[in-house]
Amino acid sequence: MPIPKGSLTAAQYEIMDAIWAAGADGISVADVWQAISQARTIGRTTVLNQVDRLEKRGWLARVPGDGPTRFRATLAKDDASKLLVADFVSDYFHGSTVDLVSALLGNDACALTKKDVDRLRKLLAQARRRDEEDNA
Amino acid sequence: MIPWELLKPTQWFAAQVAISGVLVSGLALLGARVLRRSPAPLRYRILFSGILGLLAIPFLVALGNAAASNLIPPGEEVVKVSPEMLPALLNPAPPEPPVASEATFGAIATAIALAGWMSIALLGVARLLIGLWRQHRIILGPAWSADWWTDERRTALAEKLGLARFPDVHMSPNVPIPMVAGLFRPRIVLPEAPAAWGRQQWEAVLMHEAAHIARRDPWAMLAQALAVILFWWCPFAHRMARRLNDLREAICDDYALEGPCDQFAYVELLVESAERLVNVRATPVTAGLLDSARSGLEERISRLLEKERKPMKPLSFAGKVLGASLLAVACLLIPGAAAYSQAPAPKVQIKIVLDGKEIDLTDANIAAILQAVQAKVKAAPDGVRFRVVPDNKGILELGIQEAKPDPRIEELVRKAEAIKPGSGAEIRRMLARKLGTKEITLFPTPQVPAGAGAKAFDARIIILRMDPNGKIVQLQESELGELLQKKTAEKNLHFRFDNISLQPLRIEVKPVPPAPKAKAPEKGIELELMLQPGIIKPVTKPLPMPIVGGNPAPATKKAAPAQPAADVAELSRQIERLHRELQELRSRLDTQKQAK
Repeated sequence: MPIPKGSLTAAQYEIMDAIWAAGADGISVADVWQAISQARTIGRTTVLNQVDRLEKRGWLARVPGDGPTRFRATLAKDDASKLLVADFVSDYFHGSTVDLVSALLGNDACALTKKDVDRLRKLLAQARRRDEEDNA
Repeated sequence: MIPWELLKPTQWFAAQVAISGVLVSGLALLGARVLRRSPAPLRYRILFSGILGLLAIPFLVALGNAAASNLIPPGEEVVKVSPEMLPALLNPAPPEPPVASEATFGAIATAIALAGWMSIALLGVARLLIGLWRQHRIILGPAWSADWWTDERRTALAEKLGLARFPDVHMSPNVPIPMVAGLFRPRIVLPEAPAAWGRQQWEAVLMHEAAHIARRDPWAMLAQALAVILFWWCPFAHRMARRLNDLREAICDDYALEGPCDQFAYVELLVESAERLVNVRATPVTAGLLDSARSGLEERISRLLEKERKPMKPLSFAGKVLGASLLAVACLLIPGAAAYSQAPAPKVQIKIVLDGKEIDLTDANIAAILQAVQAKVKAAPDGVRFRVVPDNKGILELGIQEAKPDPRIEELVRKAEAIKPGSGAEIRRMLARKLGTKEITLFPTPQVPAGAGAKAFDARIIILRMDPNGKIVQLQESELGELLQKKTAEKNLHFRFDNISLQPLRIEVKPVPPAPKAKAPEKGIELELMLQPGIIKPVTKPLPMPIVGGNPAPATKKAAPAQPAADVAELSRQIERLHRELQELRSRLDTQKQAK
């Protein structure tokens, strides 16, 4: 399965969320619109345009069958989340966003490697051992 | 070597900004280094003052330059043009063709460097705007919730941080680790994938992120990013930004550990977050960042695991004052230094004045103008002109009050001297004070608005003359006296010039009396009759008088105002008092003679 192009905006993620909730059977544009309308006001045409765009970028696929056109997600939600996180991290740590967002690990965390994490774990273990010895 | 003297104003401005930037960032780093054992908030304040200083430098330098140009008045030189100088003025030598020198290459290199600086800074600003836009695009999912995350708990944590309400906490499919996003309405954003952390660890994470918001770190980071963009070439600025990032995280770590979470549990969650980040990151990072990142997080974790970790208390009042003082000093020193660097070369306008007319050297008709006045210059080759530059930029000429000594005053003085030797000088001083010391007065030429002459007494005055070698020299006070003496003597006027002061201009001019003839002492009552109102002319207002060496102003005779009778009465009282003293002396002398 080809990887969908680009990332998702908040509005597109909302649509994808409704489609993931529908499962493999897919959902029509009207149903997507109704699902989102319960939370906030949105135009039906807006939903239609966004769905069309997502289909073109490979995030959605048509479910064959009779009746109104139904759409399903090409990626499972977990896989999509991994993709979104990787995309954000790439943008975040290689763009200027890193200078503007306070992350828990600090702004230099982009340079961490598996080796560094292992060393940090060792550091923590040593400190714990020392603490236990002192307490004993 | 940078050819400072060849720099254009923009380049000179950029050079001032660059030098100030290096000094400010260097001093901030040095200050933080010297105070490395002091609490982190103080070091943070010092470094952040440096960041604010960097951002303010362009404005402060511009302020200093503007102040310098306004405070230093332009000088003015007045040049007497002799006939010998005219051919050179009429046929100036053609300018030498520019030669490509080391200085020229230096100027070009400076221009290229400035263009490079600005271009990269603009690219940095564009990149920052993209960063802001990307930050805005973070997908915010539903609000984060936990069974223990109640309104009461939120309020309690907000109170610890001094916030009115705890910031919104959202989940996002984008973020791999907890972070704060947003500038105007910052929110705590947590990853959607659940972490197996306990309540204490979650509270610590939320406190850490909320502390960033309480400290307004998103704005501080924006200011920091802008300063680094502006001074992208300055290693001190980058170093300052890195130190600020480290200190910021360390301060927020201490807020996180104010709750029930111990340092081991907290470090555990940091390491887990690092692991999660490493797992999701698909692309490699640049090698240059490796060292700083490793040392940053490792240093932070090592500090947290220290048994006797120094807690980073909030900044004390004294610390805040120190930080603010450093910023204030930088804000005062930069414009001061900029103004000082402008000061060494005050502009001197050289004007050529011929026959009372100012010649504009850039005038296309200069040749015709010079030829027209040439004859007059020959007629008065040694003419000396005095000009002053008052505040209102009007041109004033210096004239001499032409007033002959009043014989009646001299007569009065002589009589007082005869009554009591030595009292004549006192009478003369009193007369001078009361009835008008003859002073050099400044009166305006027709193009100067009326009343400007009075202002000239407080004006800066530059009087220049040309010596026989053609060199322009400024007259000293003593020289001015001699010159005035000479010029007035040529006009058969007899004055003495005393107490000459150039700033403000004040010259006392006293008429030189003819040799006094000895006369028999007379009674005071007769003196009173000689002092009638209207005899002595006060010169408190400028009067049109002939100009020495220049165009004589039309001498119009003005009726002097009447003298108040009170002055005359006072003089009479003085004379009577002197007379009484003389009588007493005589009687004492007689008594002494009789006693002998």
